[in-house]
Amino acid sequence: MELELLLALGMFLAAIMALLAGYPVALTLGGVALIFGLIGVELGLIPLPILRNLPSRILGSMENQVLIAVPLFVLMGVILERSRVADDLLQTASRLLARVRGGLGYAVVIVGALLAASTGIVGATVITMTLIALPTMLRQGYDPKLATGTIAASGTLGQIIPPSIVLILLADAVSNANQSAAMRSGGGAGVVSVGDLFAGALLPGLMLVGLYLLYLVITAILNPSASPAATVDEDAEPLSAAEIARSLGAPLLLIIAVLGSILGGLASPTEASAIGAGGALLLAGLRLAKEHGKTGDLGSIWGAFFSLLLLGVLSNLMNLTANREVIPTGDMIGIVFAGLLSLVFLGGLLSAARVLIRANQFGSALSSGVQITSMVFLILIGASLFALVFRAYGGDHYVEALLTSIPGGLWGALAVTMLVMFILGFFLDFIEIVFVVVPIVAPPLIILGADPVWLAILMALNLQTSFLTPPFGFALFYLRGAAPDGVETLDIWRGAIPFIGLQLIMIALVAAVPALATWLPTILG
Amino acid sequence: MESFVSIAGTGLRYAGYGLLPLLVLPILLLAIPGPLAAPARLLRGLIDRISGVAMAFAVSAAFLIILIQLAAVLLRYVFGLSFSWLNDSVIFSFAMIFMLGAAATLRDDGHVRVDILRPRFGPKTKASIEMFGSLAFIVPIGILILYSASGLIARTWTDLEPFNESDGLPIQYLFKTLVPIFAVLMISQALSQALKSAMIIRGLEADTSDDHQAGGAV
Repeated sequence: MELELLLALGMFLAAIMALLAGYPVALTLGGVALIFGLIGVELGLIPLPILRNLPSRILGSMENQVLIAVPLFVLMGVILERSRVADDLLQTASRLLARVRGGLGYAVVIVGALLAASTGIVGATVITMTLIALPTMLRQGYDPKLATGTIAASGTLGQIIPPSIVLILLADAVSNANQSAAMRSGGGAGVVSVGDLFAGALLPGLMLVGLYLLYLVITAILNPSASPAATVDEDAEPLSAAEIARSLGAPLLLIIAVLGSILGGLASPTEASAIGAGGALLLAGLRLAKEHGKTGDLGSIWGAFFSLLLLGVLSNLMNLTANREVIPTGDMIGIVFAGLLSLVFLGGLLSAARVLIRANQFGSALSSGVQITSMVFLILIGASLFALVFRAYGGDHYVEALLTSIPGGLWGALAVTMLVMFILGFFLDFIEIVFVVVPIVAPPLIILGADPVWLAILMALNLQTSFLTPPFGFALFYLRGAAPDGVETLDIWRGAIPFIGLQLIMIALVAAVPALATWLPTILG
Repeated sequence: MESFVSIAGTGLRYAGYGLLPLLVLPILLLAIPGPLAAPARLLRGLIDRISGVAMAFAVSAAFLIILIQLAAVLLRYVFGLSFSWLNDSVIFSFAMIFMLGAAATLRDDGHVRVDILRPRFGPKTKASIEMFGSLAFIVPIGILILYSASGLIARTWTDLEPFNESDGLPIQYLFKTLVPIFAVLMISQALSQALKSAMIIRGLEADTSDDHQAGGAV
């Protein structure tokens, strides 16, 4: 075996060993890569200037227009989570459905899907649903396996249902892979946009929700004692229409505004993510204004919603374009009025921020948004150093040669890749896999004929499944951490198994019928 | 201007060399804990506070990015206006979030770890791994960044480079300076983490880290 191959393999193994020691992933990847890089420089296998590319790589991710959506969607999620909008959603849904046989289970799946589309934060979703829904489900006599399985699986929907951070990162990685594949095979490459992946993931995500619900219905019929209806006294006071509208309607509107503007091609994902974060701030302000607001805050926040509505109407009725040579008086009045409305909107945002500050949630929400963003981007930096050294040893060529030599062409290579990613998903977070593995395996797969969007959706489904797979699935850790003591870890693991089966069915469906992932992007694009 | 930049750069470089011996402090602390405990605590407090100041900038950037990007959306869709400097401000705030927030995230144990074997380790084993990682992983990466970025930073400061567009923000050189600032913050926070680990190994301090994670939650 050649020395380069030996060192590239050694670097991979050393990284895995070092990761098991439990040091932060981002720094372990970077540190191990640097050590192996210096060995290579010392042996004369790698020219030193390759390592000196790191700062320009870092600058590249600082200037990456696509990834700007990441902190904004993270902020949208943490703000909604901190303002207890998620709690309200779950409470209302479970009270609405409590009397139906298995109703709480349906409520968890539906709320999981809604939270996936609004906050998209798996850990927070699983913990919230475990804290609120699990005790009620157990009290009503649900089988602990079914209850925990439903919660963990619904929590992971945030990975696949857009707007999801995984899909944004995947779009960046797959788009680069597509370009390098095109460069090697000499063809032209289309850009894979975040919007493409959002559109591609929508159908599989919704079908997954359907599969979960179907499974719950079948269980309720075949095994009624596992998912009973609520006893009457659980739900004493009926819900008013206003309560339902507030707790279900408001997040739903936000989801429609954000997703609709991306999928409808109105706004770029970055623009939509800003709308999402701003909307989340306003909703949070509205939710907390009663307890923590001063007089005027509530009015000011409502004012922001109305001014946005009026701005929409106004810009459709008149030409408000401001940089024209000649502006007719009518339009001028419109522009001034629109300017005032924009100020009202800004005032509403600041009022909402003030309410959150007074509720002691503003700083903590922003800090946790900063921490999650830092965590993601430090991994990006560490992984880019890792990839730099791995490429310098020619590791990508070995992987390509390996993948193309697997019998069965695309399908054989795809099956092996998916299996490897699935296993890596046991002990690596999806972010590391997207940044380290996808750039290495995606170009050869695309050269073998895989559609980039289809490939990305398969990978996203695969990573979502590994979140759910015992013993190392992240969703199961979060659930274990928040579950009451009476719940056995083994029950949690056994409960996840049927849902893993459903995931595998979905992966097989998308693999067999690529149109499930590629149809929507083509008609929307 | 050019000579001023080169003098300032040389000064900073020698200041860096001068501070380098501090990185040996955690190892010395293992050997002679008694007399070094007090200055080590002082240094740690100072570093943690510096990371905290950087974090405050990152948090402000997180609020600003929402406002600026929303303003850009309104200007574009309602008034048909777009300004490069607004876009540059979004990029600047975006980069500030993680370049300035990463060190404090390290301090608060917010970077995701692999949690398979870790819960089984005792506090001293954990502290040893922490100390090794801080000194063998973070410090070399930080030094590599500083060493390789120096030319790039010198060039951007001598030109006082603006962003590309004519109506862009005139401060691309400050944007690029986030790279060495990030490296310095990470190196100093690594020193603080290593000092803390050395104290735990020597029994001067209890292990206060709980096994929760802010990371991995996405």
